[in-house]
Amino acid sequence: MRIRNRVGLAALVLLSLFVLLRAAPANSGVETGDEVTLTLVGRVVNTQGTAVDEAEVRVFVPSASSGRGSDEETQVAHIGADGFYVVELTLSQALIEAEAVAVEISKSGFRTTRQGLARQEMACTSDRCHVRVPDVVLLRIFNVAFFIATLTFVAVFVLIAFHVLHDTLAAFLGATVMLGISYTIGTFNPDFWILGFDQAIEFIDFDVIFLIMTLMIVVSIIGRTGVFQWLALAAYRAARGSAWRLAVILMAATAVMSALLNNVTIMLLMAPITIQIALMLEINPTALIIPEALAAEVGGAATLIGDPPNTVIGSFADLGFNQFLMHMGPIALISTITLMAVIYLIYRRDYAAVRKVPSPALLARLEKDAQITDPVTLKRGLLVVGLMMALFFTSELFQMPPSVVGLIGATILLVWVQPNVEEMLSEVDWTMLVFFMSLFIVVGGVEEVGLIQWIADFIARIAGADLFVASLSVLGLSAVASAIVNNIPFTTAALPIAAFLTRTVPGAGNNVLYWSLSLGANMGGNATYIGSAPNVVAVGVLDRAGYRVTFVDWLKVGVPVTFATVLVPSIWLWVRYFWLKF
Amino acid sequence: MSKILCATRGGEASYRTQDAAIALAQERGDELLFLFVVDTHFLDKAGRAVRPDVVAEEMSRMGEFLLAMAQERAQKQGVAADYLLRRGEFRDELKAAAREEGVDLVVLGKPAGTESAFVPADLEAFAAEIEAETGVKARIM
Repeated sequence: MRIRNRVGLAALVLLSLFVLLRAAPANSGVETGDEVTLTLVGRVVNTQGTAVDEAEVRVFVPSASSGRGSDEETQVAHIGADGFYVVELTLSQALIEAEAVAVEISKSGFRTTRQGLARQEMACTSDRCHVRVPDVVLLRIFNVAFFIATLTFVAVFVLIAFHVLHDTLAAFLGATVMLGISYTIGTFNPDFWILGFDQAIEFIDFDVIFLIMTLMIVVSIIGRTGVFQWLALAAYRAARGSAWRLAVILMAATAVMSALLNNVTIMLLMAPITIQIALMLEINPTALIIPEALAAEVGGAATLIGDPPNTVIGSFADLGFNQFLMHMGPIALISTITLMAVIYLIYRRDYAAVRKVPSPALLARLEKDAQITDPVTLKRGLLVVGLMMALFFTSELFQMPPSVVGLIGATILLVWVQPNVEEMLSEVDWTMLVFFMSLFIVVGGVEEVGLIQWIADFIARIAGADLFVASLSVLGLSAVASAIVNNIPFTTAALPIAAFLTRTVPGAGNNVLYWSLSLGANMGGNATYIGSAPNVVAVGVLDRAGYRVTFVDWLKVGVPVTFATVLVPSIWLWVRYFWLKF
Repeated sequence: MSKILCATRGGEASYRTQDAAIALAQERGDELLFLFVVDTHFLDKAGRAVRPDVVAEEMSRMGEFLLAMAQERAQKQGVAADYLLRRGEFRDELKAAAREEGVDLVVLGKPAGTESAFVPADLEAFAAEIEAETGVKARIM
């Protein structure tokens, strides 16, 4: 009897334990009950709200053996380029009810973040649960990779600014250092990882590369017809002996051509003949060449294809040809008129000293040098440029990227004209295209480690919620920086900052910060002769003709011109975007 | 008739050298040969590659124009003048022209202001180099 009672008691205890265990909360670590499929969907962003890609997502559930204090990793997923992740796992209903599931996000250069899942965030059926995990904001930590990438980035800019290395070589070196360190030390220690090769390739904007490449092909074909030289002589004839009128026509023609074609080629082909015209008129050639170079940069600001910084801005911010023309066209027009006024004040004495009757022998030589050498190719070239313009104007209807317009134009022209293809392709500035690709990787590297984000946060703190202050900050910074460094690397680095401010500063949705960046980058380059490629060409050609322009000589013209061509359009910016708001 | 080689570009400094060379040729009854050297190395600083041969073509036209101006200047003074255009590095091309054109004297412009290609010490050294390498006398004017 006793024994039977003891057995009965033991059975009762066991049964009670079984019931208790069944009823106990899931945090006991023992998985019991029905299983459900849990689907987690979430997004990971940085403090600017931008997607963080390539992070790792780990899902943790309590370990069956050691309880909640020791979680078990059940699933690992990688985050895509859009920052989203989807994880699916099978769990017991009890674990879900107990809110015991946690998601952990980790990425090198960011603080690892863990987030528990609340039951009320889930939508469940009998066998499935779905949860949209709230966005996880990853906070930056400044690791070794941050400092290496920052130093590399600064070194690239210093090498470019002081002409220690060729621009392309400097950018190439920077990209190689970042990738090289990532794949050597970074493989063993994640703190040294800056960016991977696949990410580096994604940072290269091939829309920009293809557009610039194809425009170079078109310009090189047209440039061989003698049209630019002919235009310079036509300007001389139209001026009817007035040097000031000649300067105005040359500035206007260069500005308009630079808005549509590569301004370096235009300067290279127009500068020598302009010098000849100046010498024939016995005026100082600098009084025509420097204004021409300045106008090339100012005119280039008008369109998406006028100057590389605009092409980079347009592609990054998804701003089309028409948008650029509508917003930057008036700014470039105002700047060109301002430029003409300042040039008159600086060179009026030179213009007054013009020789009214030039030497007939020299004029005859000039006319011989400035002939259209290939009218058939010129006609075809102009037709194709016309077609390209039509496509640029309508490209937004077809969602056609500008690079495709360039590709269509260049291909038609190559097939139609059938020049020596090798010769034509050798006129493509491959050095510049490699420079662009390397530069995109370098800027991508510092974006990846958080430098750009840090600078953007800093500017945002200064600007606060004041769009006008933000606009002036971007304009001033880009103008000063572009005077010192080539405006292409500066614009590429500044774009993510402008993008962040456009997202965060109230009212910036009108893209005024992008227009400010474009204005500053284009006009700022005119302050020094190293600030823009047409200026370097102008100084080089003048030097070969015996007219040396020193750094200080250029500053005397470049600084007042830059000041005026930034200040006057700034007033327009204020009127249009802050006062009348149209 | 002897021949004087005068390297020239444009600008005020070059005009002074041209005038001095013309006066010297008048005095000696010599013929003048003006030289312009097309050098496109400045393109290295442009940061953008352009076909140097295309640019050199344009620079050659400009050089010929400058030479024609110098020729016209000499002819107005009654001095027979011809010109020569070469492509390459200035120092090498000047020495090559001195050797190949059978000249008796090379005239170099004295540095003046910021437009000169040389500083005085460099120019004297270059004149000595011309004499040593070509056997042609070089005079700084």
